Amino acid sequence: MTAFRLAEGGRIDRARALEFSFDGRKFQGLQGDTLASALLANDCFLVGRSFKYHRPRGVMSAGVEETNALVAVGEGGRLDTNSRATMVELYSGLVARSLNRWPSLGLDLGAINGWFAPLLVAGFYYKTFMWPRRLWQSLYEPLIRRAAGIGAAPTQPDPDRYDKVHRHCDVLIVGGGRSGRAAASEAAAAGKRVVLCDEGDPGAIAKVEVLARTTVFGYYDDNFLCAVESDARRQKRLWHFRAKEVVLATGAHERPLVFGGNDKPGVMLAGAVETYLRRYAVAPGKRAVVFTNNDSGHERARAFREFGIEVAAVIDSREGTVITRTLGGRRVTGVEVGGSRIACDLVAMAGGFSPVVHLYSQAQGKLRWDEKKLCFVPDGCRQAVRVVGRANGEFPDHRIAPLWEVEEDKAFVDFASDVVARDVHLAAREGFSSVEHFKRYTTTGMAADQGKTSNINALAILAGATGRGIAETGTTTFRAPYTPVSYGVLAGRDLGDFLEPIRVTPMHDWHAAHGAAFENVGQWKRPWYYGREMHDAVQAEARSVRKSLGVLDASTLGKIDIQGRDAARFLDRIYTGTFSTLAVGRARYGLMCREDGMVFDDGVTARLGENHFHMTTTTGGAARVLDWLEEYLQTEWPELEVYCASVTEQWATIAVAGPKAGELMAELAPGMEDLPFMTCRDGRVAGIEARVFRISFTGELSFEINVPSDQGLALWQAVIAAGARHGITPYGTETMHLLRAEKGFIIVSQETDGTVTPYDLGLDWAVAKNKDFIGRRSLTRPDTRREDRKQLVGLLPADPREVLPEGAQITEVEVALPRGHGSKPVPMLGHVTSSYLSPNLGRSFALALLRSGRSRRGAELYVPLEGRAAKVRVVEPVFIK
Amino acid sequence: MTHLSLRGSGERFFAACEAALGMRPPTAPNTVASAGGKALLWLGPDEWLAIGQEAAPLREALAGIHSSVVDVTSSRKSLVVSGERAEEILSRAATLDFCVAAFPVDSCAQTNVARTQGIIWRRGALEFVIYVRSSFAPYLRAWLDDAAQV
Repeated sequence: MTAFRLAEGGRIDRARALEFSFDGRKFQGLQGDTLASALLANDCFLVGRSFKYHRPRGVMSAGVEETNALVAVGEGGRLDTNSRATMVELYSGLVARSLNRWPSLGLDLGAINGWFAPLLVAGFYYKTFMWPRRLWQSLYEPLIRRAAGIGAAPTQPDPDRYDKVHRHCDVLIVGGGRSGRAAASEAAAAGKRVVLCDEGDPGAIAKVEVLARTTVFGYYDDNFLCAVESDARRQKRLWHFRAKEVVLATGAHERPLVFGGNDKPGVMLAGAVETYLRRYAVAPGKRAVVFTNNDSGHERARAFREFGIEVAAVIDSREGTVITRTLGGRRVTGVEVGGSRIACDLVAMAGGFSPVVHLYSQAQGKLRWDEKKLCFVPDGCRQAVRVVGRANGEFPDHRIAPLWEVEEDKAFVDFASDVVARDVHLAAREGFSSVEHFKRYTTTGMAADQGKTSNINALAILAGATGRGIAETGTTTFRAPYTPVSYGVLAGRDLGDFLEPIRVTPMHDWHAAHGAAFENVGQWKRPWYYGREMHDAVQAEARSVRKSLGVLDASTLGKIDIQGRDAARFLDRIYTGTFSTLAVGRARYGLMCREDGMVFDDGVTARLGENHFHMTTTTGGAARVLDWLEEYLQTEWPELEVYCASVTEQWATIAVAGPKAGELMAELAPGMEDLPFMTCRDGRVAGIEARVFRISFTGELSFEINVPSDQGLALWQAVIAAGARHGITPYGTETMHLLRAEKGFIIVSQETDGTVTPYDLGLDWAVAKNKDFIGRRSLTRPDTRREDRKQLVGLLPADPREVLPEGAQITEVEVALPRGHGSKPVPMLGHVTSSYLSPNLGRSFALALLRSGRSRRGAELYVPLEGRAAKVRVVEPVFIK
Repeated sequence: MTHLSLRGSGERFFAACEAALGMRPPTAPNTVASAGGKALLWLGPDEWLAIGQEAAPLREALAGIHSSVVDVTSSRKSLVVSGERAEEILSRAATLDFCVAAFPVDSCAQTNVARTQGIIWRRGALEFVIYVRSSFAPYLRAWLDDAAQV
């Protein structure tokens, strides 16, 4: 048993000793201890250094309002920095470290900041901005970063998986004290679904779901609240509550008093001292001085004596005496009262109580200053919330009289941010009289404290300094989170493979088994190329398609079933081209523009029946095109009788392409090989019900075979087997991109970026002249018909092995990419949109958007690269006719 | 089990559906009409998912009525979440209130499920089925397995 542990009492298990370490020293505590109570029991009073001045700090409170005893708990990826020692339950093997000390807690070189304290006054951070600018990078920033800041982030990945739950209830109760439990029982008796959250363990309540070790940290609109639940060691679960009614029973925090050296280890809140005595059987001192401005200090003194603590004096400001300053270095050794000194090892501050109105204020609840109890109390909220008990200011009248500060050096207002009373006066003198400006200027109530202990004292001093009342001065807005929340908890299980859904086609496993490298296209995984090495794979795949036969998994293409009496008329308005004239069984390429005339999506659409179409879209555009169609049907043209349905996932799509594609089709679907270009037919392929499009994105003879997606793999395997004698080669997106670029076919969002019209792409033929469509009016604007717009061109690098980087700029003058500042600007004429090495051309080539591109055919231009410029010739964007 | 996307409105539409399907498309939002392994899930004021129904007779009955019947059987996979902890698992994946009072048997909803979308149908007190687009099924299955381990 340690010197400071009482012989009896407390809610601790004396039979269960727990080993733990703090700053490398081994200690022993008991089951039921917090880290703070165990450290106090071991006479370890110095537990941290302050944020700015690196002053020695000890445990001040016994709860969530602790702003001194911030420690890092755990190791490696499980390191939790900025934990409150008062809230950390002790467990066997706990490893904790103090913060802000260098090289050690006892000898802190950073305390030198204390000597320069006059330089670190209110707003010091902002003031550095106004000093010579060159000093900022070289002096201020490194100094501030070294000296200030709390804790260090863990450097290893967090190995824990966190949980996230949504919970609806009739009544959510925050706080499991007497008032909270009573409200819970009452609501449960009325047959309501009740959840009660408490930071500690309030014990079971009949018919109430009690969540222990759960801190409600955010209160948002529509009674949506967030809480974090911990086990004995770490935060582990995020709760999202949607409650019909909220009851806040969050209690009240005791306020410190503001006097010289009120931050020294051994200066504590009086209520906290009593908690350590009663709950943990720890005496945080042997000889105490109580400093109070109300009756509660006297009650505390009586309680201390009951537990055998000698109370040397009760200094009651109402009687005209105050503590001016404390004595001692790393531990308080006495106090100065009106010129005389009283020896003590504990100073208990009883500065009155502040209802915990943080959540109420987050909920947009109004607060009213109670002149009698000297605290802000709830005063109306538009959300369905009730505040009960001490949180509502319902505590006995302690006959409190204002004592907001004892004017003295080092009289701390905000312990966490190292703000002293003089900083408040300075800020007021400098004109920061608005409470919100004041808060930002001095950082009072920010970071770890969130106004729990500092707010009222700071406001009151500001009010005094500006000659206003506290009610008039007002309070800052409390914001979430009430206490720090681990990023891991917020991320939940949406990490790693779950960070973003992965979409796969029915043939995915085949691709993986056959060595496909995958490309992310939106959320889809598409085969990029097959093989170990991209260059060789793509060259072989591209050659095979042009010479013999290739097969591509095109299942990710967007597909929309469109039907209804007005379907053709609808498509005429959506596409730039005309679809009402399309014969049944035929297909047509279509371009869609937005209202501004810029290309939005493209694809081939077939007419299956008089009133029935099968539309295809880009892979990435599938969802937004359907939304676009629905938006126009529902908001602009509700009179049209048209229904759209997404069938993207209904159909698996396999494209077979190459000179041998006809032979393959003759074998798998006799008769289909003779389908005319741009037609569509339903039938059977390899015995599977299919819809076949005779279209081509490669320029080769090509069929796109659609089958119900659960038959996709079967068809794929049938195609591979039947194609074997033609040397069929599966090809990926890279080869597909290369082959279409050889033909000059665009890819929306590669050749377009939302600023490109059909005319810019040379697709005038796809724009009907004699009908209206979305974007038509914009396309008649002079600006969209300018001849010096960026237009699609082909580029042939002078060096046929030079593959230009996509996105590279194009210039008229030969210039390398600039290095550093001060280079002379060069007009940029456009950029490379697609670039490849073609085995079919035996050389590299590119597509580009180029200012006045069409009139520059044959011109020689440059693409600036690292240290040099590549010469290119402008050509028509078709490389294989 | 066939899945049909069914769209339409007006009394003629409802009467034709009832004649062809033996059940009337429900008009109360987020409810399911089900019998003998067949079901009609309300997805919108003029949209249903018909499960276990034949397309051809339905199309025939609806001829001449503004409507659409699209076979989407392969579009989605079904994942069944059942057992004592079914509500608890769903409350991790979706934001809705899944207690039986708020989401009774034969309720359905189209909502976000994990980071994708799905149609959730409560088939029994302790049984939910989630219809999810086929491409997302492996993701959602793994996600739910992970959530079930808590």
